[in-house]
Amino acid sequence: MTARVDPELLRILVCPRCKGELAVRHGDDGAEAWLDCAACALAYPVEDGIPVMLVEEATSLSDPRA
Amino acid sequence: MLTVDLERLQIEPGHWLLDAGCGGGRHCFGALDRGAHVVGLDLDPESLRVARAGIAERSRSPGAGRNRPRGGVLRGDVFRLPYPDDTFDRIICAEVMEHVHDYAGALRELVRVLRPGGRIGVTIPTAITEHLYLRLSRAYFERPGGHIRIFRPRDLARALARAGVRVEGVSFAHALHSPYWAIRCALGLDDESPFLTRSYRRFLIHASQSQLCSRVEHALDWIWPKSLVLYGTRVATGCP
Repeated sequence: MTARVDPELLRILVCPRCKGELAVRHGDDGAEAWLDCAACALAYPVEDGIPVMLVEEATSLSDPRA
Repeated sequence: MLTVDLERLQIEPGHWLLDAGCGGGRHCFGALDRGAHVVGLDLDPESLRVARAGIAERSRSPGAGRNRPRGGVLRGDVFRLPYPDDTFDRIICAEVMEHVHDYAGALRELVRVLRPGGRIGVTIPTAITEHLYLRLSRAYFERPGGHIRIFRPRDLARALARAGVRVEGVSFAHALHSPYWAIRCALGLDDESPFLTRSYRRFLIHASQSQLCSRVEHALDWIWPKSLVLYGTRVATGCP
């Protein structure tokens, strides 16, 4: 079963760089896959149900991998 | 075997707790058992998986309904926390400050996400043990991921005060671990094969499950503690 992130925990998360809101993007399996910050144009990955909230490991929203 | 005394941190049901540097999640588990919602933050994915499994087990309390304690983990660092100001009621930061260069910056960021009136517990190794370990083995400080400074408690207290925390108490912990690390430093930090090292390690595992050993350790914590904890409350504005 794919690990999911508790929705209450997602609700209080913000971008570690600008402290702005994040938009949740789901993968094909329905689980949270990316947390997008539009202001910073960064996508934070969710790996095995664990958000990786490190600016240095975020991917640019313009990057096709994101 | 907790470093921070959750009773002194006054963790109550419904509180939101951030455990920054949660490791395998031991403090998260204790807070969940008290009905708090917990967030465990760490840089190490393997530790986070261990913490998540324990949190999931404890937060599935049948019958708790909508008020069940919630918990989760995330990878992050203490210098850029992914939370708005004033998010948490309680913060624990155990065994982190001795690893980071800008510990004052880390404390400022932790206090930013602590609500005014919220309580924080920060741990450091005691100077007496650290000086001994340094004498026995330079590798204790020089290997990657090792400690980078020996704290004087007043340095941590001052940094907490400058970050906007009124320091209100101190406790000591893990006295039974103090000799263990002296043995490790003397006989080889990366070598767990010596008889004395293995025997003491077995004793520590036994001691962690013994109430008698726990009481003995609490008494010894006043003589040769491995860890020191400062407790404080975030003041409303500015420095106290």
